[in-house]
Formats: sequence, structure tokens, C-alpha cells
Amino acid sequence: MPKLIIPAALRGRMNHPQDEVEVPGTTVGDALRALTKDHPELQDILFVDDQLHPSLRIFVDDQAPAPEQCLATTVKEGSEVVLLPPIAGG
Amino acid sequence: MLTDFEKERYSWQMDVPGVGEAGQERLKQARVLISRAGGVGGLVAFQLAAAGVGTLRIAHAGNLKPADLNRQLLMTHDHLGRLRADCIHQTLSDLNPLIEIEVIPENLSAENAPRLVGDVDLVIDCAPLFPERFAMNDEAMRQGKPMIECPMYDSDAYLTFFQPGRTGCLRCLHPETPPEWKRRFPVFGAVSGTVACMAAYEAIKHITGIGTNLRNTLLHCDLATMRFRRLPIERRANCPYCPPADERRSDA
Ligand SMILES: [Zn+2]
Repeated sequence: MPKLIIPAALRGRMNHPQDEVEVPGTTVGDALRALTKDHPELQDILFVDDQLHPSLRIFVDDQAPAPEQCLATTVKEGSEVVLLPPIAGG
Repeated sequence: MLTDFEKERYSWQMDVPGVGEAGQERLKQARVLISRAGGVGGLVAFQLAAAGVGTLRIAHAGNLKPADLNRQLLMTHDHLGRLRADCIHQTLSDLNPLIEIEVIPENLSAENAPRLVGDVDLVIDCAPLFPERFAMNDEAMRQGKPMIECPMYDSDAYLTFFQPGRTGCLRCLHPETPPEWKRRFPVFGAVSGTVACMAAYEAIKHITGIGTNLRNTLLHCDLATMRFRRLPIERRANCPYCPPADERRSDA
């Protein structure tokens, strides 16, 4: 199963914070939908009308999929998917 | 020209390979704008003042509050209720009276950005609100000035070096302001200070020419798990704020 890496900025929004979550799925879209099924409190941060939030950055195995193809990007067993929301603490 | 006292004051850092008197002279001639001197910007300013950056311009409005003091290390208890700008100036000039320190009691906005960005070589974005960050980004990109981006939240820190014409910009990284972002964020000074010191070294590397800046790369540090990752980022093809990719300006 792919592994989602959850940064502090998203952990703080989870009812039961975890820094890694293993989810089923063969695409980024599958993995994120599995995450929001278990953690619906993240839905509005990750998605806008079923599309990825335009300011959320996603990296698969330290590579950046093109934003328009991100949800369809293939993930493998053991893939690490990093989710980075915008932050502005200064 | 460096004075004998400056050569002595900065001697340990002039020993860093590639710096020497020429690198120190470049630091002395450099002009840097820092947007806000809070938990991040204050430590950026402190390091750059210590390193002898010749002119520091700092924009930071408002009066000092008790809740600022856990992380805004330029601020001192005796200044509570008084203008933050005065306290920032006092602390930095106590540390290094040899440099020019200009503290403006305003935050960055679209109105003042052309003036504040106008005659500096490099800007460092340490504001806690996206509109201030975007105002500085847009003006820096328009003027072709590099911008160091170093936000944090809780135990997360991001760091990257935007260079107009060679990288994307803050609007490429985050095209829209997240509506859920709040002015108040969880922070220990140890976390904001960590990303600040790394951002200050990005500035020192850029000015002196040593090392490699984080161009087209986002460093994500999670200090809770101690995971540090270098992640590729790039210019968005349709970004209306970036100059054209082939238009190499300031320090290309
Ligand atoms: Zn851009």
C-alpha cells in the first residue's frame, strides 16, 4: 500500500493525528480519497469540488506530478506521497 | 573597503572557503529587505546583522505584546506596549553598530512594496499573512529581485529560493490564498528560529557566492519527526507574476 506522509500543518487538523497513513489504492486520487474517507475533516483542505485544492502541493517518491495529472498519477506498494498545504507562519 | 576592526570582527566567517575579504566586502555592500521581524524574520535579521550585511531594511508594524515574546527574539520585555520597530532597531544596533538598520513601522502591502523593495538586492519573506507574502512576491518578481521564502507552522518549515527568470515564484507554488489560514499559528521559537537560520544562510550564500541556493527545490522540514526532504518545484507556464523564463535579470 502507498504511504501518505502527513505534515504538522495537516496533522493539526486531524481528529486523530498521524504522521504517516497507509492507504489502499493505485493512484494518488485513490489514496487521497481513502484518506478523506477515514479523515473527513481533511476533505475541505485537500479538495475543492472533487478537484485537488490548487494550492496543495503533492509529491510522489520525491517527484512532483504535473498538477493537472496529479490525481491520476500511479502509486506503487511502498510509494511515499507527501502532502504540503500552504503555510505562512513567520 | 573593510576597516581593520571589520576584518577582526568578521575574521572567523572570512575563514569559510570562498568568503575571504572579497566575500565580506560583498556582504557589506548588500542591501536586504526583511518583511516582518517576528519569530522567523527577527532571527534572519539577527544572523544577517551579525554577519555584517551592510544595510538591513525591516518592515514591521505594531506595538509589542506579551504573546510575541516566546519567539520574537529581537523583542525585549521592557519594550512591552511600545513600538516593535524601536525594539528591533535597538537590539540589532546593540549587536552590530557598524551596519545601517532601517526599521519601518509598516507591514508589506501592494501600496508600499514598490518603495520598500525598490533599492534592495534581495528580499526575505517572513510575514504571517498570505496577502503580505503575495504583495512582496509580486513586487520582487516585477523588479527581478530574488526572494527567500521561509514559512513555518507548528513543527513544519519550508524553505526555497525564488530567482526571477530561473525559478518559479510564490504564486507558482501556491496560486491561491488558502481561506482557512489564520493569523495565529502554533509555534515554538526553536522551530521558527531553525528555518530563520537556514534562510539567513541562503542569503549569505547568495551574496557571497558560496554554496548552492535552493533554486527550484523546496526543502520541507518536519521538526516533530525530523524528516527533511528536498522536493522539486518549478515555474508554472502560465504564471502572470513571474517574468518570462528567458528574461534573466538581477544576478542571473
Ligand atoms: Zn510565478
